[in-house]
Amino acid sequence: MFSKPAEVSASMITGQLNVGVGNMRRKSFLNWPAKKVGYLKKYTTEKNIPVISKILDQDAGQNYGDDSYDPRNKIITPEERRKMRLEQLDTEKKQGREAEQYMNQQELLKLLEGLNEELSEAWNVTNDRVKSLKIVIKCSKMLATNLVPQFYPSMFVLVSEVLDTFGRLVHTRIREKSSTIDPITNRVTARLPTKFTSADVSEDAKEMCRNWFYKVASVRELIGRLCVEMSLLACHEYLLPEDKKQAALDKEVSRLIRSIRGIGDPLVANYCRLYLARKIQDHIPTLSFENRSSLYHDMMESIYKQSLSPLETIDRINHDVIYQMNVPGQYIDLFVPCIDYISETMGKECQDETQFTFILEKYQNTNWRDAVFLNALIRSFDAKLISTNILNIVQLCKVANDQTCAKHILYASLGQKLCASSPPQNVKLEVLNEIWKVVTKIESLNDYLPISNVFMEFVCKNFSLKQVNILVNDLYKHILQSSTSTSSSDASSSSSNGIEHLQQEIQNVLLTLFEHLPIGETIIQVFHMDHLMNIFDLLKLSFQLQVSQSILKIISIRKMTFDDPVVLQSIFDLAKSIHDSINPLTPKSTQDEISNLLIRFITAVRFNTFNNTRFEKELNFMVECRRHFHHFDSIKSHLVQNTLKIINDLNVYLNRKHSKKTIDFIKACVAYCHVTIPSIDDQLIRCKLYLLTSQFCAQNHLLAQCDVLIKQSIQTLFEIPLVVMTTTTTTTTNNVDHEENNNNNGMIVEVIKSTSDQIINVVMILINTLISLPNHPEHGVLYLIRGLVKVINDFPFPKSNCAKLKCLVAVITYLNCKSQFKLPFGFVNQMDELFMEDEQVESECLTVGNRILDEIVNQLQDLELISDLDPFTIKKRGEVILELINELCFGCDLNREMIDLIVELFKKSNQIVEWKRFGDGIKRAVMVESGVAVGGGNSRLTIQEQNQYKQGLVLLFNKIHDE
Amino acid sequence: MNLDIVIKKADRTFFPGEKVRGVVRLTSKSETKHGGLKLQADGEVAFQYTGSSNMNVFDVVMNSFKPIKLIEFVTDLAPAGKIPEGVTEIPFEFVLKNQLYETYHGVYLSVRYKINVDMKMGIFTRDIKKFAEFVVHNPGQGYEQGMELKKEPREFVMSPSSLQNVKRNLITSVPEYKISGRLSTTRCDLSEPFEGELKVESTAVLIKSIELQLVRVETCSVAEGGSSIKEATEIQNLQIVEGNPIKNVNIPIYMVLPRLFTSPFLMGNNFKVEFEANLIVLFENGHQITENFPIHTYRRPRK
Repeated sequence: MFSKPAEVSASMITGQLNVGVGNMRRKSFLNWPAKKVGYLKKYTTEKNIPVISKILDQDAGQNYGDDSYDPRNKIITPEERRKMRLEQLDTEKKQGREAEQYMNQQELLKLLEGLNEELSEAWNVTNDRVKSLKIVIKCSKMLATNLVPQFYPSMFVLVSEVLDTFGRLVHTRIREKSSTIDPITNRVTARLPTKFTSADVSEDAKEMCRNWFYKVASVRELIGRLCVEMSLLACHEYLLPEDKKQAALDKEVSRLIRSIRGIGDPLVANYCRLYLARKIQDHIPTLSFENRSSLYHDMMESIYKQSLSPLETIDRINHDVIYQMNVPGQYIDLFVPCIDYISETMGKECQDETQFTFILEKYQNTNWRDAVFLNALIRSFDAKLISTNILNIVQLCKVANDQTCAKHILYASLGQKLCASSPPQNVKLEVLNEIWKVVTKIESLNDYLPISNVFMEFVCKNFSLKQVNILVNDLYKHILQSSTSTSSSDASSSSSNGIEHLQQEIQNVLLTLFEHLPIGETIIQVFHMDHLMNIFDLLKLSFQLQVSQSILKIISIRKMTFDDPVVLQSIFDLAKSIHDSINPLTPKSTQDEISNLLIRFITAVRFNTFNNTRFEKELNFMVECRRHFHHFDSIKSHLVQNTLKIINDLNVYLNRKHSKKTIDFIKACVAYCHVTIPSIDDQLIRCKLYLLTSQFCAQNHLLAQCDVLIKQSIQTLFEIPLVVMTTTTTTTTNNVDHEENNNNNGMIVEVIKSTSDQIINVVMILINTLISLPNHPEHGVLYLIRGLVKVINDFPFPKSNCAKLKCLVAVITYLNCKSQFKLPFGFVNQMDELFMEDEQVESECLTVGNRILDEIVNQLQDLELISDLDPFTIKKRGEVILELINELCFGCDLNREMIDLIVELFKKSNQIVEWKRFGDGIKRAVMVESGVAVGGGNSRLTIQEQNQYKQGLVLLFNKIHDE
Repeated sequence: MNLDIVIKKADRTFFPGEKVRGVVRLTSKSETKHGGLKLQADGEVAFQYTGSSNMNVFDVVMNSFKPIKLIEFVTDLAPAGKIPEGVTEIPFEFVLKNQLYETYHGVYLSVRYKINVDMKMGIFTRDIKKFAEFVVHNPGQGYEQGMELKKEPREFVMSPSSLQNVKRNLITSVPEYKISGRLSTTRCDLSEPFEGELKVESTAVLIKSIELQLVRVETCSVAEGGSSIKEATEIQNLQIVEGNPIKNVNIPIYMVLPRLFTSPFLMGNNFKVEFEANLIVLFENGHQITENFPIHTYRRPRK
């Protein structure tokens, strides 16, 4: 209800790591169902509860509504009344406690549940309204007996349930009465709309409603009458016209509030107030603030005058009850549900400064200033109101009597409000000083830590690291004190034992600190704080890990630079400890989380020197990382990529003007990659990284390294284990996951579905890279591509798959490209001129090309043998064939033999897919392209040759046409 | 065969001079013969006696007190004939006299208005008889000019010294107490609740309960000026304090005056109905004290 955007986002951030703070702030505000469960658990008893046996007896209840039993029809003269009274006194004396029956908690619970069911049944099944009312009055009579106060709140919860049911039943019954019914068919023709005024309600329904009110007003017992009246509060809407509604309801509620004063037992009275507050919240949300505050005031007065004052002056001698409780605070604790809820109903409607100060003054002006009330006030009112009146409230907190509600709870509530809304700038520091003067005196670490946690957030949000430092020092002092005090009192336990059970709490404080680190402060300064690391060292390993993670997180969010090697080293140690906490039993999700965290940390680390030593530092850092974070492929792959990025950064920094020294540095980087890559388990990633590195080498003219890397990538390609996908559309394996992880971090972008596809992908990149590289100086022109072809041939591609075909066609593309005069692109400009004219190149290309063509034809024949290909593969094959034709037309001599082959291929593609499915467009494109290739594109052909090609082409067209 | 009297007004309440409308609804499973349908509206002030005590005194009064007819209206709704199968509705209406007493259900006296419907059947079947009561409100009854404007609050203080009916020498044995308060008025408009407040200022013995009792006082006499009887009986008793309340806090006295059982001040030639309120304080030790307030009830005239 009060959630402001700022508060929501705060709890969202805290929600992840730090459940202790913030998250709980508003969950239970005016939320009865949530509170109810808590109360039932909290207020229990072992004792037996006396229940007046009359209540249990079905027939002995009062017979309301039944005319023959109506006391108003009986003749009771004053004399008779007196006689009855004497008789009653006699029987009371005689029976004494005999009239009571004892039940334990469970039995009572069952009884009330039973009554609730019985009520619904009497109402709905047997249509016995009189019996229903009797049951309800019986139940509310139970509220009047308070002999086991410990259990009273729970009993109230249960009885109020019955009352709620009753209120609901009456309400719906009147509502139904107001719907129009067709007299002939008995069907409902129109219902009362959800939003209605009393003018819409039928006379019959109104009369029924009035009848209920008259009936209820004549219930004899005060508590029973009030309870039923409150449960029917919602029904007033049927009678009151819109213009008078508000005033009339205010008047009615005001009367109820005052009538409750007639109940002597404070516990009973205040639970009645609680029920009234609930009904107000449910049905009269527009109730005036005056009424809300007078309800509150009544409650306060009743608790003070009847329970909190010294025993001699207590109005009602409720001593036996109070004495049953060992501590006075324990008795007051029974009122907490009332105080909470009633304060909240008041706080909900109070947006006004003057109203709040009015309440505050009222609290101030009474002689009793108990923390239990102040706490409820702080928790119930809007954080803004609290923070604007903060100086006053801080003073009140100081003088509050903490017998009823411990100081630490009070200050924790205050802190939460301050976190949600900052006090005015000019008083902030004063407020903090005032509060901390008190808080620092709290000795029990148990009580101190929650406050420390809350105020850590407050201080972080509002102050600088200086104040945070003071807070941390204070925390450290407290921890030390508590551990020494326990170790001195209990010599056998070790010194850290004192904070054993508080580890979680201490961890939370640290988490909060990092979560809300003041903006503009770097992590370095945090590490320079006096005692932070000392506290950290006191934690157990598992808690340390949590804290470390949050530190790394904040680093990756804030993108910090590191000048200080010491701090870097300590943070690095934290990262190391996180990494080392991984073992084979760690769940995969945690592993992923940690590896992501580490990667983000590595990326975030920056060195702030503006000369080239920065690059060396970065490389050193990479070396360091590799040494320590060996567990994850993803991290290692990231390290390689990061190193390559260093090369890139350096290039940018030097504007590509390298000296010997810088070239050596690049070589060192490449060497780092070369050494790191083999340690990665996943062959595919390895292969890709090799390729990537080789591209960087080519870019930086490191041809020897490049050669080696490419060779290695080809070798690795062969090692990739084959994963066969059954359906190629939507399948995910670990491989895919892995790929996606990589995606997050940068350089490899495609999402790849199966190994075959991935290999095609790699082969494409490889061939692409090869085009730009010069030929091998020692092993001949096509040394590397031959190796690749070999791998492709030997690779155990699945039989029913076009992957191999596709790779081979790609090789032909490569050959086509290589045999041109000028390369389309390249890192080394002069190289193509060195080899292009070479006869040897052309012949080699030819031989290799022919061999591959044979291989392709074989493959196609193999594929044809397989009868049950899935349509997807068939389509793929068609595409590959068309691509091949394209390549052939483009780059080959169109001699008769070749044309025959092309025609044959066309036929094949025909068999595989009908022409239509390819579309005329593609067909024509292929033809036109082949025509252009023959016609003008390739200037090497003589006119004679061109003619020859043209003839071949015409022949080709004809042949195709014939088909 | 089923006979119902349906009065066409949800609260069945009418004012003098008003027209009473309704239908007699006959639900029949088969066509039925009957010997005529008659409706009779009655209104009377009657003396009644249901108890058993004081037989002798009442005998005299009862025998000599003749019911006073207020209205009498008879009409034939349908001549002898046949009622068809299914639901048959026969409407009726009659106008009330201008001078009537308000409905009152008391112990000895009552003012009642009824509609009787009588259906004659054949010789071997029992006649079908049904009656329905309706309520008459009589604005202005018990009212004097300007009554609702001049509210006279009635202050009271209850303490041992204010006790009556106690032997003077015993008064010292009564524990000390002081309860003060006020009633907002003792002239009660019946449509408004009876209101006031009280305050426990001091008490030596714990209070067990405080109750507000509404009492009717009915007076009948044989003839004007003749021997009469006067009886006070309880109408209802509401608890307003349970247990010992906080001192010096205003606790409301509040009672919704019940319908039918209360009426405006009623005065006839040989009968009278008045009302009283009693505040009864019960102490833990068994003591009981009562403070009596006569109240005058009226029905505010219609504008």
